[in-house]
Amino acid sequence: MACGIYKWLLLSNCVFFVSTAFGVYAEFTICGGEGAIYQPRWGQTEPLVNDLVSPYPIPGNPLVIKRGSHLGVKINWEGGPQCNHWRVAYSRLYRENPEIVYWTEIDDPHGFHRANQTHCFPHPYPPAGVPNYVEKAYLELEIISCQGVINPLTAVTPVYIVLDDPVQPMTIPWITVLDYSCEWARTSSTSLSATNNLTILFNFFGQYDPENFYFTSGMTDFGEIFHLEDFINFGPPFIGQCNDFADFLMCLATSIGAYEMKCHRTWSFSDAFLNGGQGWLLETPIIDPAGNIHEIGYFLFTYHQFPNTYLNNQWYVWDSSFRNTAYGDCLQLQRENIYETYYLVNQFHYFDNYTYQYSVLPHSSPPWDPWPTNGLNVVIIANDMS
Amino acid sequence: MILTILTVVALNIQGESMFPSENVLKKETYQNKTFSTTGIYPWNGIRLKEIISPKTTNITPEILLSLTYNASEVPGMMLAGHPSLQGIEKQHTYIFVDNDKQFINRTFYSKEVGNAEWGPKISGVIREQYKYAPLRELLIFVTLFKSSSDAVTDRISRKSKAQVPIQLQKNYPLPSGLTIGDRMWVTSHTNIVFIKGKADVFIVFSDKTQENPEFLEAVAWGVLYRVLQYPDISGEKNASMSIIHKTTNNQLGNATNMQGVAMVPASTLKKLGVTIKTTRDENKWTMSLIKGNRTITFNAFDWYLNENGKPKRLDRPAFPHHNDLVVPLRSVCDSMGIKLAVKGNNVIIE
Repeated sequence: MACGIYKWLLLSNCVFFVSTAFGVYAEFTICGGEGAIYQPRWGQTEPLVNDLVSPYPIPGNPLVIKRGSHLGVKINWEGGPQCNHWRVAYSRLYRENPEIVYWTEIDDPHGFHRANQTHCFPHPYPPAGVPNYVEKAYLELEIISCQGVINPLTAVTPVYIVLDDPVQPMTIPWITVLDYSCEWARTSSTSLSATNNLTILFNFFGQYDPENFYFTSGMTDFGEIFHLEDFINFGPPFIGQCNDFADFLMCLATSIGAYEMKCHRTWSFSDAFLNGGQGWLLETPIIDPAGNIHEIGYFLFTYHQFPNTYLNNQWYVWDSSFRNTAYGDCLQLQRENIYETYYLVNQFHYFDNYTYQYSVLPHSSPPWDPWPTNGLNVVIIANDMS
Repeated sequence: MILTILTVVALNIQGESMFPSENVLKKETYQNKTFSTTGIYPWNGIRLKEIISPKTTNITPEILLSLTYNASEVPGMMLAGHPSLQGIEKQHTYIFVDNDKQFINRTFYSKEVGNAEWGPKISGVIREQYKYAPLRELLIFVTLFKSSSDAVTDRISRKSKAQVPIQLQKNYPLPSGLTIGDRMWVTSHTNIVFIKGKADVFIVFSDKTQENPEFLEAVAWGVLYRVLQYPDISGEKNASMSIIHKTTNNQLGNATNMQGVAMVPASTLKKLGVTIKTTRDENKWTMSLIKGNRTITFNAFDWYLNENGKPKRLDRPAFPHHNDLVVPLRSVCDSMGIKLAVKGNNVIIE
């Protein structure tokens, strides 16, 4: 979105001489140091410099803000005289479906602001801030300054309210990811609640297909490239195998600052049943894969990739790719004791020269060896796979 | 070119969402390629990304659109994005055109919604906006490659690198027992993958109330028929057949040889003195063919016709194309008392 359409033109007395115009523009800010605004990218193209939401943070362009932040707006004067009487004529923070209005300001209760003052949302003062939970909302705004000289600014700003500082690999969160993470995790005020909600709804809307689709390239034993833009736009709904489901859930959670997540595979490729016909296969119990491409049943995997986070000296797994028909959603499961033993694995089978050799039960070591130890290096890019 | 023009005209007639106009498209350049694109969000449900420089492919978005069904062609279903988001225009179609590969992905959802209890539970409670999810979904992905060997290589490569080892991937038979295209994989009762020439087709159909693999298969035959309209894509140079009247030697129309069965748009039969009556609403598309005292009736995507109250199995299903239903010529002619013989690429009507 071009910044120019959110500028007003401050014209000389002769309004026809546009060449003598100079601009002013509005900018969002945090009032009283309460909260934070984060720079996002669109998630549309590479390199990053061409993909940043810019200019930022201005009305009309998407805004990413920490929950509970005290949001304000101020005027930047680009030369010329400064108006000592500007005001917010109207503001409304709202969402749709279900419809909620968080605030409405009609005619600025603060009265006119001086040139360098900040208007803090919303009325009544002191500001109550944006919701104290994850949400995707919209801010309608009309600012009037130097009435009759500067055209009023009106803009609708998508507002993505996140839990905390976005973390790797979403340090600069993608708008295309926030569209889903802020919607699916809405009303969550804790990392646990948010990640659970993301897992459940990604499972509900996703299509897990471990046989036909994937959106990763350059897969090695230590990392992969996840073509996130392709993955999001291929459908929707989102289709992919475990790599894609793990990487995307990690992106969802980290985009709203829920947890620092890592992706692991069940073991190194050197231990996996691959083209050489030697190695381990994982037999699942009866599971319900996300979506409708595959039916409920057991599956045989050469490996499985999942997102997890390290909390209180334990790894915990969230997995959207399937539900266990006996135990349900994979939500914050202790990796070794619960996820491996009850949710993911029925048995491990060892093959040599494509010939079955023997089986072991879960909670055995080997072959279970989440790999690599510190998690995969997942590079997220917006370039197409083709 | 003629086919393209015809396709565009047909799409206009049927109220298909047309492409974004030039003023909503953006230019995007990377890796020395420039694309024209709708950008981050779709336009009117369609997301388009088409190479404009350097351009070496003859495949156009219009051709890709013609390889799948349009908005009004699948009774009971509508083109729709996933009912998951507020405020974002929902994408139902993604058309991608690059020089080496082109694809169209399209999603249909049923207008009929399911039981509220099927929604996802958050802390045991179903969110209001997800309570009533569509009962059925149909996903159609058609990808075109530079050659048929590229199509096969890509599909085998995908299946080889998949989480389930290719040796252990299931392959179910279709309800008809037939094979669609040059290569086919059916890994569950809800999906079909087939390759015909340069086209790789992946179709998913699910119905929360019942399995319906016959409908899924019928949809797939319909896509194959569309692929066969383009010999350069299908690799079938002789798929087009002429229908000739034995006595007058007049050409009555064309049929398409769909793996050994001549398929014709039902309207072609008007030239044989058949009267056609069509009844069509949101949920059903029925055609009746009348000749003398014989009447047969069939529905879009059905494998049976009704012949004077008795069901008769068709060699191939009836499916929509260009606002008509395409039917197997011999099955229908037999029921109408019309005799025919096939000689090479000609169908001779007696």
